Order: sequence, then structure tokens, then C-alpha cells
Amino acid sequence: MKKLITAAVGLSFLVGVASADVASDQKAFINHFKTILPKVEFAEFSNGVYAVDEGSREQFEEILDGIPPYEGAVEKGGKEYLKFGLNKCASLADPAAARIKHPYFDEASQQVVTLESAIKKCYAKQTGKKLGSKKGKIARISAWISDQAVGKKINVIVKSAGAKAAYAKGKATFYAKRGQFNMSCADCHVYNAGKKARADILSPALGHTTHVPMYRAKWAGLGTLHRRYGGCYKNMRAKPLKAQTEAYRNLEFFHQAMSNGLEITDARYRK
Amino acid sequence: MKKILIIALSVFALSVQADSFKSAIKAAETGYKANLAVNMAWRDTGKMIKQAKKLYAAGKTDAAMALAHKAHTQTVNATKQTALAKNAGPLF
Repeated sequence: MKKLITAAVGLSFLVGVASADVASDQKAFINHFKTILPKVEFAEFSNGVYAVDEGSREQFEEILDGIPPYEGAVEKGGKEYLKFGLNKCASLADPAAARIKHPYFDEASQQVVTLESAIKKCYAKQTGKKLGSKKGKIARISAWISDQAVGKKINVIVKSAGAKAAYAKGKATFYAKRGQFNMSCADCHVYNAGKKARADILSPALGHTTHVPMYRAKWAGLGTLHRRYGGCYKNMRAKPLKAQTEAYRNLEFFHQAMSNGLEITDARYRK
Repeated sequence: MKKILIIALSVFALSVQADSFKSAIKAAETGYKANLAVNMAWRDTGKMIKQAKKLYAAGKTDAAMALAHKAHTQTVNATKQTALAKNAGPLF
């Protein structure tokens, strides 16, 4: 009996630590941004760099006030969602709920499931064909699904031991220095967020995942979060990983969890 | 006799160069493979290895050797990063 009580107390302590990790990580994360960008309100971080720089903000608002360059692509994504029968898959049948649910840790496969990985799986089931992971159809469909959840808050849940391990791996990837420039994701988007790197202002990591897939002027099109990860890796002179690989899915799990509580937005234009 | 000696020395020198290139490129390839396995490879290492092989095939041995060594150095540095990455975390 004594052993049972000790085990139960030990287990509850472990579970407590596990759930506290994400909350305390995010608290420290948000506090850091409050310190370096004191004028930016928490909700504003969903606007990324446009929450930081007034000049860019004006341009951003002008683009949003007109017809955003991605509007047609997102509409097309909605048509494709129906055309390819993605509404027939349970995981995507309710698009708004699908956006909120993903990424999540699937206990059966012991893997993080992202929205794009769910779309790929469903697309393959419905059409018998493979779907890419970075741009084009998947970005359009994912953007349309995300649009259905505008105003809802990101809520990544990290509860089980497996989920916690995936989260920890994602966190390590985020903070690890890599590539010839010996840089981490955090070097630009946490410690130096709001500062300039050449002509560009570095965006804060807090809120990064509220507007994905994003439209980048540089790409002249929509792209998924994993496409952006690949670009960041290249900039650090590290070899990019394939989109939707386990390491990137774990990274997304951590990255999205840090934006818990922020509203999903359809303002997906970025420079 | 003199000619034979020169030819023999040249052949010997060429075989030494070939051996040292082979070992340099093998070291680079081994390191790169290990870096890839842990998702910590550098962007240009693979290209350097390919380019070094091309240069060597074109008879540009010195340039090939230099590039093979450079690629190997990249893999050594990537391995050092891998060790540090295990304890990576926020600085605040």
C-alpha cells in the first residue's frame, strides 16, 4: 500500500512537472518579449513584425485594406478542399476545429500530427495521389482551413509523456545552434526580435504560427510553416530538412505551443 | 637510368596524392553522413564533396584536396554543434 501511494504521488508529481513545463516555458517566453518589446500588447504579436515596426505596419494595413494578393489562392483552396473530398475525412470534416486541434500528439503512432500532415494523409486516401508539403495546393487548402478558425485561439495541448518528449525535442531544435553561421531559431526570433538584420526587421517568434500558411512577397505565393523552416535553415547555412519530417513536426509542436492563447488570423501577408 | 628514376618517382608521387585525396574525401563523407543522421549537417558540405570529386577527376588535385579538407572541417564543426545541441535551451 505504501509503495502504491509512493508511486501515485511520484506519478502525479511527474505529470505536474510535465504540464508545468509548457506553461512555465511560455510564461518565460512571453516575459522575455514583454521586456524587449514593452510597447507591444500580447494580442498584437499575431501581426508579427508589423506589431513592431510602424512604417511596415502602414504598408501591411494598406495591403489588407485592398485585395490581399493571396485572397484568390485561399478561395481556390476552399474549392479544392471540397473537390478532393477532404471534408469526408473525420480529421478535417470540421475545418475550424481541425485548425485548432492541430498540431497534436497522437498516442497511437507516438508522433506529432500537424494540420498539413493530416491534409496529406486525407488527400492520399481520397485521391490515391501524393500531395506536396510546402507550397501550391497544400498551402492553399491549409490556408482556407485556417481561415475558418479566424478569431479562435491557438491551444496546443502537451500532456502525456510522449507528447512531452516530442515537445522537448522541438524545443531543443528551436534553441540549438546549427549551420555554418552557428545560429539558432531563437538567436533571430527571440533574442534579437525587433532588431534589423540587413534591411529586414526580425520577427518575434511569439505569434509566428497565428497566420500560417503565410503569403510572402519574396515567394510571390503562399507557403507552409515548414517551407519557412527550410528557408531559415538555409539562411543559417544548415541543410534544410524535408518538410513534415519528425524533427520539423516536433519543432512546430513547440513553436505553436509558445503562441497558445493568441488568436488565429487571416492576415497572412509577410514581406 | 635517370629517366626511369624520374618516372618511378612521379608515379610514386601520384599514388601518394591519390591515397591522401581518397582518405580526405572519405573522412569528409563519413562525417557528413553522421551529421545528416542527426539532422545537423551544414548546407554546403555535400556540394563541397561533389565539387572536390569533380576537381580530382579533372586532375586538379591540389584544389580537390583543399576542398575535401574544408568539407571535413565543416563536418567536425557540425559534430561539435551536435554535442552542444543536446543541452540547448533558452538564455532567459
